[in-house]
Order: sequence, then C-alpha cells, then structure tokens
Amino acid sequence: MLQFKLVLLGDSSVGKSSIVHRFVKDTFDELRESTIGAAFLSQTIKVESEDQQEVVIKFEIWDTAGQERYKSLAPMYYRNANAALVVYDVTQEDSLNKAKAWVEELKNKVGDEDLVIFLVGNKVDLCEGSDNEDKRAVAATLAKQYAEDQGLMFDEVSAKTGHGVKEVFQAIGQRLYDTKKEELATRQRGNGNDGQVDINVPRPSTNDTTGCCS
Amino acid sequence: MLLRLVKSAAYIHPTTVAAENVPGYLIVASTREDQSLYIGWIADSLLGPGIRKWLLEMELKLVESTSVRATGAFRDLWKSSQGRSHSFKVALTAVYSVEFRPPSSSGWWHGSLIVYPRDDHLVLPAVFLHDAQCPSTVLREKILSRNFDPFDKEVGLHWGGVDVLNCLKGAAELRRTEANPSVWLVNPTLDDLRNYNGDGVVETPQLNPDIPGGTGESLWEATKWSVLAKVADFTARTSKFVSGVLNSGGDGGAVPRSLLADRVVDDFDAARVYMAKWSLGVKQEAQRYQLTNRLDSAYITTLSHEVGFDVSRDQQFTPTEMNVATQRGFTLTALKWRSLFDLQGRLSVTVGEVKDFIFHGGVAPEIRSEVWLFLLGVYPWDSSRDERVQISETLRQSYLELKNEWVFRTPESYDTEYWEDQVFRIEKDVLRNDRDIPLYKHNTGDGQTASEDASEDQELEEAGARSHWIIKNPHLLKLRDILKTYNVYNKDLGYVQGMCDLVSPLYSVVQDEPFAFWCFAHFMDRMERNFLRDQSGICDQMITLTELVQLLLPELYEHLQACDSENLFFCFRMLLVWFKREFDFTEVCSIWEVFWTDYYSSQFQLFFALAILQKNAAPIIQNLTQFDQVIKYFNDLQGTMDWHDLMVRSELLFIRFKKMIDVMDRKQELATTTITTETSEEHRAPPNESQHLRRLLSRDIVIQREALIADGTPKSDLR
Ligand SMILES: Nc1nc2c(ncn2[C@@H]2O[C@H](COP(=O)(O)OP(=O)(O)OP(=O)(O)O)[C@@H](O)[C@H]2O)c(=O)[nH]1
Ligand SMILES: [Mg+2]
Repeated sequence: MLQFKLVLLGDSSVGKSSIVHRFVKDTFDELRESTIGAAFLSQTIKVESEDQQEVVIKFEIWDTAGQERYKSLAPMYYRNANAALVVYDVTQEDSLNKAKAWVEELKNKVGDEDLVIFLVGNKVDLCEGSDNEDKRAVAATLAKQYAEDQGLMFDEVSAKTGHGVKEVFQAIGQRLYDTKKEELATRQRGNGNDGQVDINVPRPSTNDTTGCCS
Repeated sequence: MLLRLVKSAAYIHPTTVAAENVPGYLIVASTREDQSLYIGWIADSLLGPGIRKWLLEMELKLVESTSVRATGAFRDLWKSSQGRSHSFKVALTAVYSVEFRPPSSSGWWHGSLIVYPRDDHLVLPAVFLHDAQCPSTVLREKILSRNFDPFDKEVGLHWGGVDVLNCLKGAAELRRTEANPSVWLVNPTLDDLRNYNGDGVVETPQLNPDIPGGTGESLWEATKWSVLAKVADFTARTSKFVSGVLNSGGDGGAVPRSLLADRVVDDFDAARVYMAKWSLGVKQEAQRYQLTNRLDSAYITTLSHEVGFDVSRDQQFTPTEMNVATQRGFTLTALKWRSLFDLQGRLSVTVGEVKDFIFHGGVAPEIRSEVWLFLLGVYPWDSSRDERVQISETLRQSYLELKNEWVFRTPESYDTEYWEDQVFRIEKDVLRNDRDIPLYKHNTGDGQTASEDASEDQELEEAGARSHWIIKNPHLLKLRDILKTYNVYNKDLGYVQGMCDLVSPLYSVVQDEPFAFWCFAHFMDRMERNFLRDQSGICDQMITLTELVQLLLPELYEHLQACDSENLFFCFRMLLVWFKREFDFTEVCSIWEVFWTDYYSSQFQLFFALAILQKNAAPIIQNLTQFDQVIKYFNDLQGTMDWHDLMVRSELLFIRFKKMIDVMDRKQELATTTITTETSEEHRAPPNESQHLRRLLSRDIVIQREALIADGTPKSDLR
C-alpha cells in the first residue's frame, strides 16, 4: 500500500469539507459547520499499474479552514503534502482569485516539481440547466486555460451530487503513482521485496518553519 | 402583609410542667413588596377575641391556598407583640437553620421546631405543635389520607412541622444536614453545604468499633476530636457552633450540653440524650461515608495518583483541596440565587462566594440568562436592581445606535466591497452554525416548522437554486445582526471564522438581541486575542500550554517531542473557540460559565486543555508515534469526553501548579539571601522564569486587540 498526503486549500465555504466528505463517506450535509484549524481524514483507492495490477493507495487528507485570517497556519499542513486540491466556487468569482493566490503560494513555498496541484471548481450543480446558467460566475474555459498555463490538473465537480469528485482523487492517485513508481521500483528492488509493502512516500521536508508558533 | 401559614395549638414550654405551657400561634408571613418571609410565634394571650377568630379562619383557608391578606389589626399586633410573652419573629434570611423534631409515634411527646438565627446571640424557644388540637394539621392529614399512596416512599409520618417545612421550602433553599437529619439549613453557604453533605470527602474519622457501652457519652468522646475538629476547620459559623458544643460539654467533664438545651428547657430531650443523638448522627454519617463512598475514594485515589504530586518531592493535596475539587454537585439554583440579594436587589454576599458556587456547581439553566449578564460584566456585581434597570435601558439604546450605523448608512460613507465581503462571510457561517439544535434547526420564518406553505415555496422557486442561502430562521437572523453590529463596534477586528461559534450559545441562553450582543462584546474582550491576524494571541496560549505540559506532565512532553508534536498544534481549535467543537452544546454552556468566573485564573481554559492532555497521556504515550496520529487522536476525541471529570482535574492541576510556583519562589528567595547556592540539587528543568506561566496566576483577563496602524496594515499589540 502506498500512502500519500493531500491538502485542501481554498476560500471559506467553497466546499472543501463537503468534497472530502463526499469522497470519504459519500455523503453530503448542507449544514456542515465551518472548519476551524484543520480536520484530518483518510481514504483508500485503487489504481492500475502498467502490468494491470491493482495498487492500493491511501490518502491522508488535511482539510483546512478557508478564511484568510488563518492563512499563516496553512504551511503546517501543506509542507509535507504530495498533492494539493485547490478549490473555488464556480458561483463566486472572487473565490478563483483566492485559489490563484494559493497556487502562487504553493509554487513559491513548496517549490517541488513533484507536488501535484489540482484546481477544482465546485458547486456545478448550482448552474446546471439552462435557466441556471446565469448563476455561474466563473467560466470553465477561463479556469481551464489558467490551469493549463500553470501546469495544474483541472476539473469541475459538485460535492452535492457527487459529480466528478471520485474522479479527481482517482486522477491524483494515478498521477502520484506514475511519478513515484520509478522511485518505488528502485526501493523495492533494493529491499529485495516483491510483494505488497507499506511504503510511506513523504516528500522531502522543506524545513519550512512558517508554522504558527515555531 | 400576606399570611402564608398559621398553626394554632403551638406551645412554648418554659418549664417541664405541662400546666405552665404557653399556647400561641406559629405564623409564617411575607411582606407584599418583595415576598420575603418571616417566621414567628405569637402568644394567644395577646390576641383579642376578634383577631383570634379571624386567625383560626385563616389557618384553615391556608390549607388550600398559599397566601391570604392580613388585616391591619393583625399587622399592628404582629409588630407590637415582639418580646412579649415569649413572642418572636425573625426574617427567614436571618435564619441559619431550623430543626424539626417529629412527635413520637407512640404519642409520648409532641413534635417541635426550633429556629436558629444566624446571629448566635439570639436564642429562640422551641415551639411545640400539639397536632391533635390543631385544626389545620388535622384537616391536612385528612386530605393526605384520602390521597394516600402506599407505594410513595416520600410519605413519612405527617405532623404539623411538615406543613411548616413545605411552606418554607417554597421561599428558600432548605437543605437537610447529614449529621443531624432533623436539622435543615436555610439558604446554606457553599461551605455549609460542603461540610454537611453526606457525599463529602471529609476525612474519614478513625472510629474504634470496640468502644464500650455505646452510651451517648462514650460515643461523644470517641468522635468529638476526630470529627468535630475537622468540621470545625471549615467555616467560622461551624466552628463557633462546634466550639460552643465543646465548651459546654467540657465543663466539669460530665454531661455535654447543647447550646439550646442550655436555654430552652425541653421536657423530653435532655441535653445528654440530645448530644448522644447528635454524635450518633455524626458516627452514622462517618460509617455511611465509608460504605457508600468506596467508589468515590477509588476516584480520589486515581486522581491523586494521576494528577497528583511526585510524592518524593512535592506536597500532596490536602483533604480540603480534594474535597472542594471533587464536590461539584451544588448548582446555583434559582432559590439560592435570589437569596443572595438584599431588598435593593444588591448582592449581599461577596462576589467570591457567588463565583465559588458557579465555579464548582454551575448555574441552573433557568437562571442562566440573568446570571450570565453578571458573569460577563454586562451588569456590575455591585449594582442594585434600580441601577440595572437603568443600565439595561442605556444598553438597549446604544445597541440600537450601533445597529443603525449599518442599517441606515449610505454607500458613499463606507468601503462597500469590504463590508459586503464581511456580510457574505457572516451569513455563510451563521447558516452553518449549530444547526442541529432546535433553536436554529429550521430555516423558516417561524423557526419551528420544517418547511413552509406553498406560497413560500413559490418564493423559493423564484429565488432559484441559491435560495438555501437566504436566512429566514428568526434566531439565525439575530445572530447575523449581532455579528454585523459587532463588525461596526469593533472595526479593526472584522469578522473571523469562529466568532459565530462564540455568539451562538450566548444568544441561545439570553434570547434577546441587544443583551446577547453586549454579552458577546464583553466575551470578545477576552477572546479577541484568539483572532488576531498575526495569531500572536493564540500562539501565546499555545506556548503557555506547552510550558505547563513541560512542567506538570514532563513524561508526556518528552513523548510529544518524539512525535514532533510538542507545539501542541492539535489544541488549536480547543483554545480558539473554547472547546465548542469538542463538547455538545449544553456542555459548552456549563464549561464556559466556569471559565468566566476567573475563580483561580483568567486563563483557566489552559488548565482544562491541560486536563484533557493529562487524561489522555497514557494512551498517547503507549500508542502514538507520529504527528499525524496525535492530531487524528485528538480530532476523534470529539464528543467522547466527560467534562465533569476534566474540570476536577483542571482544578487539581491548577492547585498543583500554584504550589510548584510557590516552591520555586521560595527557592528563589533562599538563593538570593544565602551565598551558597545548591547547584547539585536537581529539580525539573523549570521554565520558572516564564512570564507566560506567571500570568496564569492572575485573575485579570488578558486583553490583546487588533489594531490598524496608520498605513492600514494590521498590527496586533498587547495593551
Ligand atoms: N449546491 C452546492 N452546495 C455546496 C456544494 N459544496 C458545498 N456546498 C455548500 O457550501 C457550504 C460550504 O461548504 P463547506 O464544505 O463547509 O465549505 P469549506 O470550504 O469547507 O468552508 P470552510 O471550512 O469555512 O473553509 C455548505 O453549506 C455546503 O452545503 C456543492 O457542490 N453544491
Ligand atoms: Mg471546511
């Protein structure tokens, strides 16, 4: 089993917690309370290796609080992450700007090529159907263009209906597996171990001490 | 003046000769203005035939109703009778206790009651109720036997005293003492309650079971030093009482005479018998304590072991400290609360006494809305009723002014973009706040029904898919308005996630928008430091907590270091919103009101967090090895913790902390006064210079505000 750390970032109430709960518990709660500090959850998925074998991946997920005021705490959570899910709300224009700021920060502070960043537009259910098209505040093409420019993965989802949520994590898992498998293979050979092994794949620590009280 | 109870055939027995008994009436009356009760006795010889007839009529009337108006003639008599032919009256607030001695079932003696005023010098005679001659007692007995329920365990022998007791119970808190079950304390102080409580942890006296005879005297001898001396430790009142008993028992070494037996000659209970009963009561209590408190003592053993000292180095907790910390059952009830105020509605006890009650027993939910206003500083503790009326008016007015500031302002006068962003955040959080509790559950116009009628649905339809973002529940709307007004009131801070969590319990208890606002504003005085942009306030607390763990739980600290968790990051949420997310709503109310007392420290929340750490130390040390695991472990604690137990631990941890600081201070003194400093002596590497730790001993709240410096960049400073 492979273990990866994943962090969710994005403005308050864009639906980070909702996405995680959809993925981990397959539930949606309209009245979920705002996150304070951060919440920790985990979930496993399976990806396919080249030789069509199933590989189990365990995600350790940090769901952070979105408000600007708590920004200084975020490094605690993203500093060892393998992947970051940067979320915005497709009905809130400003939330994309917040998302872009997070992408900037990740690129500056983490500076690791291997960090997988996935930009996610949430709440597409709100602008489904022709009479709700006007609810949309961020055009998919616009966000997609930005993602391509920055080399991010991108998709739109709905935590409410579940649309696209699993696929996001599946894609991240696959990508992480693909980029790490070489490294893994060498390690496995070195160990002389051919079966399933528990391998932690932490990113090299950035020695980032921007944490709250450090 | 209102009559509450009349008992005719109430006799004073000045001598043992029956022919010399003085007939009269036992009366309970109240003033009309403030309902405060008086109890008294008036001699029959002072009454004219008209009043006598009227009084007997009223006596019967009061069997069915709770009060009747007194005539002017009676009122005058009641006033002038004082001191004539043994007549007396005393305000219930001036009464320390009442002893009810039931009649013998065989009819050998009458039941009687004795009122003990708080003023020791005042001694009132025993009043004997001759039940068979008393029409109201006879009538009540008839009513009772009609409704007699043989399975009701509460029903004891009925006699006149029971009617008196029930009448008094309606107006004051009466608490039966364990030491002498016939004595009822009137509006007892917390110390009285602690001393007389059967579940108390008063150190178990070493009773010698082989004491010969079992006569009153030997039992008395056996118990007096071990028990009475301990009881005497506690309060002035008790010690006066006890030393009185001891002195009168001591002279000549013969028969101990009780204070009352001294003065009121009572035809049945000789002093010796009385004392024997009393000491027997004490002995029984001690034994009952040993029997029933096995569990409790196991709890105490656990506590001293876990929270306690390293016996080789420190002092242990004293029994009193243990006793006080573990007895958390005396809630501040409505009756009790009312009894604490004088006629002007001014507190008649010290603030410390009230806070002791709240800290150790909490506030009964039905009076929270009033008590919290005092606790949070909306009402000054020393205000009178009239002053509070004034204050409320002013506060309502100034709330309205603040609110109007945003309700009626024009777009030119403020930064609309900023404001709209703030409102947006507030609304999102209000809608996500505590929606599981009934008050906030339904987002409908009346806040009670799950969904509204068809015409409303139509509206919803028009509002489109975003309609669920519209706040309709009237209570949620008030939360929103309070938060918006606070935004105007404290412009520098702005809305921060978590503030909604803080206002929600306040509003749910107070349920009045302006008052909830002022409660919140005062609460925020101490909580603002948690929400500063640079996180400095919360960091200070995390550092303090870390130092506390280092000092008091060194083993855990070492382990957390090994897990990269010594910064206690997992306590962030607990401290930020004062455990709001870790406990359920009603528990949060109970926890907060304890913190607000500042009884030991204005930062008692840190000791509560420390208690959580302490309680979970063993599983953490045994099982967890990584930062993530530790955070996850604490995340999962949500909803599983017993706050009562944690509060006991918090208090003991504080006491221990205080003692350690004292010891360090003394060492410091020694070190500076003597030339040779003992370098060899090893003490836990103490952060004893820490200002963080020292500040924990203060009861003044720590205020840290967000301030914007001239160029608009935020800066937080310590004021
Ligand atoms: N219609 C719709 N509503 C959503 C969706 N996802 C989340 N929401 C709603 O948006 C609100 C905020 O969702 P959260 O998941 O709490 O947002 P968050 O990003 O975790 O917010 P913070 O914890 O404050 O940072 C909730 O009331 C959800 O019901 C979605 O896909 N569709
Ligand atoms: Mg969240």
